[in-house]
Amino acid sequence: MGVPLIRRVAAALPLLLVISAGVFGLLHLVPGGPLAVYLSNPDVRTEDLERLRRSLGLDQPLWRQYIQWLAGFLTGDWGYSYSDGRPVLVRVLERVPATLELVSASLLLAMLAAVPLGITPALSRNRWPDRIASSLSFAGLALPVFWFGLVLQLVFSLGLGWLPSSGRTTVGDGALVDRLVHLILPATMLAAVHAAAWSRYLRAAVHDTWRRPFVAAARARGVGGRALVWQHALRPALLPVITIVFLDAALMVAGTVVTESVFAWPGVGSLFTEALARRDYTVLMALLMVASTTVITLNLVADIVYPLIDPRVRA
Amino acid sequence: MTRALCLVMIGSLAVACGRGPAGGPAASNRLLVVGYDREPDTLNRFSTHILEDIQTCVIEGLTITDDRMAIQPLLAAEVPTLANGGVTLLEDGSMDVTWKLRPGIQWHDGTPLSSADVKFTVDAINDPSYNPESTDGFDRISSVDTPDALTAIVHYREIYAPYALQFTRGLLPKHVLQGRDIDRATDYNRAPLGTGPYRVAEWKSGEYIRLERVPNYWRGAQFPKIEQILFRFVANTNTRINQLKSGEVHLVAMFPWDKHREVAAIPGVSVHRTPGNAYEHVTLNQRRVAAFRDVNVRKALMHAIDRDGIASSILEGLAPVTHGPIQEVSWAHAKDVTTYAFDAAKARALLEGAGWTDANGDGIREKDGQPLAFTLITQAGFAVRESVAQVLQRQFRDVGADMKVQLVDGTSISGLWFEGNFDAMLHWWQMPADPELALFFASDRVPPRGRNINYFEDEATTELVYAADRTVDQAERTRLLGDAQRRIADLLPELPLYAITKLDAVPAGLQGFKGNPTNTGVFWNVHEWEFR
Repeated sequence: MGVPLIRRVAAALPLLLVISAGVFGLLHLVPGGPLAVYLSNPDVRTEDLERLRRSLGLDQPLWRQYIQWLAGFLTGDWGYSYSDGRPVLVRVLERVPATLELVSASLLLAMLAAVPLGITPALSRNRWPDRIASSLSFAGLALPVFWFGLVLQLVFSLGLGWLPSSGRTTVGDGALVDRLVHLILPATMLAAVHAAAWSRYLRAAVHDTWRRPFVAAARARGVGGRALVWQHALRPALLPVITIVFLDAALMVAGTVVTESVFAWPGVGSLFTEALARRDYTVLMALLMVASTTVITLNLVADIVYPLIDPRVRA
Repeated sequence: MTRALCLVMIGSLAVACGRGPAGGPAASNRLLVVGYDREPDTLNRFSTHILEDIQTCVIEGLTITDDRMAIQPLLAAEVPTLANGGVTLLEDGSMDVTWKLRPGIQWHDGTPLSSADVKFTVDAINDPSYNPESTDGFDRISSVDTPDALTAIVHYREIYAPYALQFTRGLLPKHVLQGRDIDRATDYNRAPLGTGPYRVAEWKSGEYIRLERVPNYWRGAQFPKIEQILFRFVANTNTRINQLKSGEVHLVAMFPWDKHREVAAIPGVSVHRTPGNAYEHVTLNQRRVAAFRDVNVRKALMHAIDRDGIASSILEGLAPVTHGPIQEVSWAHAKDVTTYAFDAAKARALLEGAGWTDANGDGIREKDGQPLAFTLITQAGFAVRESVAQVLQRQFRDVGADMKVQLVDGTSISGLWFEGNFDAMLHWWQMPADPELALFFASDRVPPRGRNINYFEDEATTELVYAADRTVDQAERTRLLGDAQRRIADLLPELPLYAITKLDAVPAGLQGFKGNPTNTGVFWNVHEWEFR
């Protein structure tokens, strides 16, 4: 186990290097640039723009900018944000808890919803419980996420008045209940698509397992009903789904960009939106590197966890 | 497991229901919640020009522009002019401006405000180690004398007409910032020391900035009336409007026009309209499109547009048609300029006369084998602009000009126009509070030296706009700017469409809200705001 793991990690490092160079180049190719925000102010003159360009180091050749950034990044100096002048690390770290909170809640919610949505139809294939659960899944998959978020706001916040429309806390409150209440709508929005997708995988997997000889054998031994589903069929059926959950967890982090914007959630997703609009290269690079590292790590984790659950892979 | 989930869900819903309607506390003299579209980068006013609203509540300048764009003294006892002896023009072409500070004003920490802060501000901005957004005007100051604690004499190397606005952004407190790296002075940049009615109590990144009133505001203990103002950052426009509906925010400044009906229908919210110092127009890049160099083609395109129709239909009467770069709200606005009524027949005749004919019968005119075709760029996600662009496309087509429309994101479009990489552009300029036209119309102010992105060249215009910039006497300046506006209307380097009206959603019970046409923003008189 140990040596292959080290080999996998070692292989991931050059990959990260290639990603960083590619992303750095792409960012600088996008028209606009960090100085564009100043152009709409008539008081900012050519002299000012030149001065700001020099102070941000944008007058250097691109390869030199990249080398300087890389050298800093590797030694833990992530630079300063172009927009507010604070250290990038501070800006990123202060946003991480909110996103972790949102993603964990969504993961939990999506898994809790996917299991019944996946098992019910598998056990009653092509009868009405299957049709209802399948319809729900397809609806979830087809939802435009952005629109779904706004509908949640309209229904539960404006219409019924049950939940706050956005934000992470009520100012001056911040108790656990207040935070949970704020979490419900954005977590639902982020979870919907994944719950739908996972339930489809699960449905196929359970159905497949259901026809395996060991299930028939268990049934022959007199195991039936719930015990058959939970103890025998579900565990092997969950295996492929767990890999997907790990890979999708990374996608979920990407999904926070839209969700956090709709719900004014103060996480890394909204930081990314702001940084992109300002072309705040140092913050963008840091966020993209963190995201890439997360994706690669979750891939590794999926590989490690899989044999732990499935003894057949362990050999 | 499913049952447990259901219990959790029902439990949370019950808790939520127990809280009653989702909205927060109602707007009152205790708390006003403002829905804000972006989080500011920094509250140091010299480092950023966008979003000055929060700064306006905390930091005061020597002067401020009011709701009619008049310059009013704030920390200064009066606005220096030639007439009151505050401005002296010297024989060598330089200029002295004497600022008298209002006596008895203290920074929020109790330190008296003094002329040394004026001098420190100028020196800090001109110091190469600090990177303010703009050094405009400051770089023309040779030195500042401080004969006493309340007098600062600013020496300009040359005549600088907008001198009265030099310190609208406020002053940097010497006793806090002296000898420090201001770019990295996070304590100041996130909670600046000011003299205004409010101070920054809390800044929660990504969520809000909370201001609380200062106990001994210099205008008197009765000001300000509202105890706390909370700026909540809600980037998404739909969410911001939803929060207004649910009562989670009380005030939204400058919301988009296409939301007008929706906002006007919200109970307890009134829509405040302010004529803005900005105008929507079509920029015609003469460097890129040869046809635009012919004044008759430009006039033909102007006659082809039914501006009254656009104003009454798409703009729902919110924005009046305009005929030039300086709007009615400004003292320098000239009424008697050439105007171009909607007249498609006249447009066709002008194009005919300029040699543009449709020989091959495809509906598009040609000249020397080249079709009259160009691409208009405009900002994506700006519903009203997208609709106007479509109308222009149709109306230009009616007179034989083929215009394509390309939507570009907000940051990218700045790069495109600054590099001159476009044919035509639909956009607005937020004009400086001081009516400076040279930046936009002088021949030598094409990018990167200025904002003349029509690449318009006219000697007479250039002379007039520069003469106006070098004139301090307002009557003479008005005359020069009037001549410049008439010249610009005759030569029509760009196609003016309509003046911008700023729409602010304000709680119905709020008294004293006046709005502001300039970048100063609506909070300029926040000390007077009150709920009754």
